[in-house]
Amino acid sequence: MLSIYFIALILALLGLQSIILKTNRNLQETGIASIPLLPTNIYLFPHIWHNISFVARFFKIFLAVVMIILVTNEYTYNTLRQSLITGLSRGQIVLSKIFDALILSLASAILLLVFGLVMGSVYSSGFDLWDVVRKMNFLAAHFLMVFGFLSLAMMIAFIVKKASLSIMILLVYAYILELIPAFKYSDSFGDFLPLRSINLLIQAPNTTIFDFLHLSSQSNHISSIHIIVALVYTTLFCLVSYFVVRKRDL
Amino acid sequence: MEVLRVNGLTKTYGSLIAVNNLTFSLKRGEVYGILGPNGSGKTTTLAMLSEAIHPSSGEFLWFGKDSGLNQRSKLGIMLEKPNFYDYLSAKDNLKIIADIRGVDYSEIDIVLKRIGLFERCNSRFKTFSLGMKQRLAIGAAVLGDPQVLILDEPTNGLDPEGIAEVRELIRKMAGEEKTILLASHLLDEVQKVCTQMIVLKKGNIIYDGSVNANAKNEIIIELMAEDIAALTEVLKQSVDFANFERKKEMIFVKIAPNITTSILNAYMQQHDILLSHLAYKKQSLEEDIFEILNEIR
Repeated sequence: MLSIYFIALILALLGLQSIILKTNRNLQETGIASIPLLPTNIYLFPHIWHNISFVARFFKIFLAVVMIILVTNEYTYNTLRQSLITGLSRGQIVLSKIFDALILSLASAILLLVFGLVMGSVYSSGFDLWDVVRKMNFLAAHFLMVFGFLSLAMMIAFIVKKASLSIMILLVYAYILELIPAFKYSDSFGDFLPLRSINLLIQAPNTTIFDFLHLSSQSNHISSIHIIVALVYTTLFCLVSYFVVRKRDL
Repeated sequence: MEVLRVNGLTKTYGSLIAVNNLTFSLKRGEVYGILGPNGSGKTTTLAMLSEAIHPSSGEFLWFGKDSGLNQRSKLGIMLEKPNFYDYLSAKDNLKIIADIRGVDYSEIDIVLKRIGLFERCNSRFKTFSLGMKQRLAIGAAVLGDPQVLILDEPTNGLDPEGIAEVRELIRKMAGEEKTILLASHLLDEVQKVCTQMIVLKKGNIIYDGSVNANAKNEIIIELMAEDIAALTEVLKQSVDFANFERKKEMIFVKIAPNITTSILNAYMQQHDILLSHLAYKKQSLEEDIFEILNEIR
């Protein structure tokens, strides 16, 4: 399952370039725009880190499914009880799942790192070390974003216990429920809702096309306020998971 | 030495009282049987003692101390059905258990041989039959040589050979100064391996004591005669044998321990009753249990 995520992400990142070139050509041919609206080369150092981590943002749901199944399997096979009676504490059980989430997030970040290094070297002319590492903080932001999202998935899975139901709840919350208040109250607390604030870690690259679309959340920087909010939420999700497992009969 | 002390242990699910105010203790080196019909609270009790479920009230102390991690590593527990990772082999599943308990991997092969799964140790758990799964669960419980074994229906799903092996294993562990707490609904099983028993009914303890000591300390003699009416008449007028019961053509006389069958036979001859059947019958555990269960009802 993890490999599906990796393959999907790599294919999407590889295909993106041709989609962009095609779209640019179409837009020019139809006369909508006379200049290329989209950045013509997304694989250039240092912007490649921002570009690929922005694209990867939309793929973290696959990792969340992996995470949910890792947790709900323990309920399905009743191995949570087995581990407990063998001698693990409830805290250690939750901790082991937090480690799973960390490993998944790290694997995702490493995938982006390797992909970025390869594609960046191929497409960038010349090799300037400062250019290569300058925007690598987006990889760290990607790691935090995925980890935050996975801890939400973990919390839902610990509470709900069933894989299918957990996935449905996560999908409905992430793609429908939260969008409504996030959009309506975007001036006030909307940006501080769990998923919105996690997603704001990596905002859309500041490019012509997003300007053109009047996309409100675009930035070439990672703001510290979003890091803090994401960390707070992540901690909260992990703590809730722990209290659920501590209180429950297994 | 006291291994476990349970004080007022209670578990309620809404209005249902699964386990009601249990108080008992376990001594070192004894084999205890928890006996009771289905749904009498055996598994719930064992799950609470394993800290898998939280008691609604009451407390229990392992080795005289409050519950905690260090305590649980001294316990080998097997609860209800075997729970392992379907997609991992028997060996890998035991490796996880060994990791959690800090047991050396070299012990895994010893345990696998002991439970008779060594040849299949690389097969996935889901390919196992129920009996093999049950054996693996017992293996997981004994891995790391724990001081106390908690076994919930250990012979469930095993073939006769497997049942005999598990009994042998339990007797062997008991010989090594281990304390064993075993739940079963099979009276026969408890009678064969346990020294002490606790009988549960609807969450209440209705008997707690030795298996061998006859619960009611009664001896029963079976009698049959050609003239059964005369026999009952004589019994009614006697002093020592007035406590009897007639079931079809057979009469069951309850007598005090100091009376023997020959005394009864002599008495019958004095009254010109010719017995066609006379047999001494020690009440079996099964009948004891049924009697105890019936009295409560």
